[in-house]
Amino acid sequence: MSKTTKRCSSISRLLYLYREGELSPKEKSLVDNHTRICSECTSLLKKLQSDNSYLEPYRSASVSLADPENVINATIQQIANHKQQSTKYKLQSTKYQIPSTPFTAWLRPALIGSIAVILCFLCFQQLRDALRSSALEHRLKERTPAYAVNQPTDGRETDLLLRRWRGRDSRDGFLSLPQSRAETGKDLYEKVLLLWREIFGKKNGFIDHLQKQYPGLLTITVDDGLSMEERTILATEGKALIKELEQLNQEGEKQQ
Amino acid sequence: MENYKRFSQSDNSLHMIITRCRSGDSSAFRELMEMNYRYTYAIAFRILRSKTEAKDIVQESFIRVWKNISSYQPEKKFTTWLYRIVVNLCYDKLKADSRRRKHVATFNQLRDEDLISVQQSAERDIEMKDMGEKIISIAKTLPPKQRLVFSLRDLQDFSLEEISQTTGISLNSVKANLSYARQYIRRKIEELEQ
Repeated sequence: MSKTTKRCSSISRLLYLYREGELSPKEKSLVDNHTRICSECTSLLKKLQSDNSYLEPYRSASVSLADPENVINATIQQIANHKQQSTKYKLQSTKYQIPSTPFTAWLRPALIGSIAVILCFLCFQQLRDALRSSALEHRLKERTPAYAVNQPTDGRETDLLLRRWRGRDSRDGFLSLPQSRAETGKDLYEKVLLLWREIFGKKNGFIDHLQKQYPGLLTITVDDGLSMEERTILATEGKALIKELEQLNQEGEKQQ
Repeated sequence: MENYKRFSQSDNSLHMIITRCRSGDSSAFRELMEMNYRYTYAIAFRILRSKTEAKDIVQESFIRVWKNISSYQPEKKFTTWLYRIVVNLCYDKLKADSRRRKHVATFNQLRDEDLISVQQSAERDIEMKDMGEKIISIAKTLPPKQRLVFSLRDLQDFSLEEISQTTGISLNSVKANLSYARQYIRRKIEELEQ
């Protein structure tokens, strides 16, 4: 492609917008400079200008609406019809409104009130669960004796607790012991678990939950609403077993 | 030629008429129509090139003015608001016509030969006309947006800014559409001349 043709294609868009007020002064001077040297574009520009001059009579020709009075009257009539229709619709809409009786007057506030009460109750429940869960977590962390003896937990609290602790491997030594200890005294470990399962399993699935979540679990001080008898068993046999287990662990470590 | 900028009514009297229209005074609305129908009709006719369609557009425009007079902001020029309504209605009409033409062509399943013969007869009709008429006839085959911009600029003598303001099309898009329209018309004329 020659240099002039390249220039022509870049200038052609401007050629079609050469009428007064369509190009910026800079664009206009570009076109003027180009047309001085390019005969093809000069000829196109002349053709475009003559096209425009052919339209001049059509621009200046007076265009008048035949029988304007009729058109105005018809429009005013349509507007009047529209006004009538809108009044009619207004009347109709009043007609089909639900009549306000003592019952319907109370219906709306009652509905709003009951929705508000339900929402408040749900919020309260959420708040209570959050507080309970954090208190339980705190007690477990601190290993307060009060918790171990007096404060029973329930399945709901357990679930909340597990949900919070999910994904954390060793929060502290309270809920889990190192895996190596469990392995050295495996039989005893199983025995302790069995005993606990018997005691706790009757109350709720707490031990199963914990076992599933923390496979290395050996000790637990959560009181799950046990009877005194059960607590005695836990205090004597459980403690004895743990002691035995710890001894075995120590021996195992020495041997290693 | 009526001039867009040479509107003779004083602003005060126009505002008074509009206020009366807002309160539902149909005699004030008649005055408003009498003041504006000529130029409204001229714009519609120059875009659509049909007396009946232009008359319908005038009626429809004023009905819209009546319905929406409450939303008119007095700080803006009334005529700009009115012309915007007119031009939008004309543009909708052009688009609907263009869609209908396409639909009819598809519906009738015209064969290629039929289409060629229809085009040839249309070209023969155009050849018979003088140059101005030829341009106007070719402009009728432009896409709606190009036809609208071309009509407003080359037949109605709106400035590019006025077109942009009235149609809501950006200034750059107005320029591009106008350029394409003139290019298309020139090409068609050259084809006819060969």
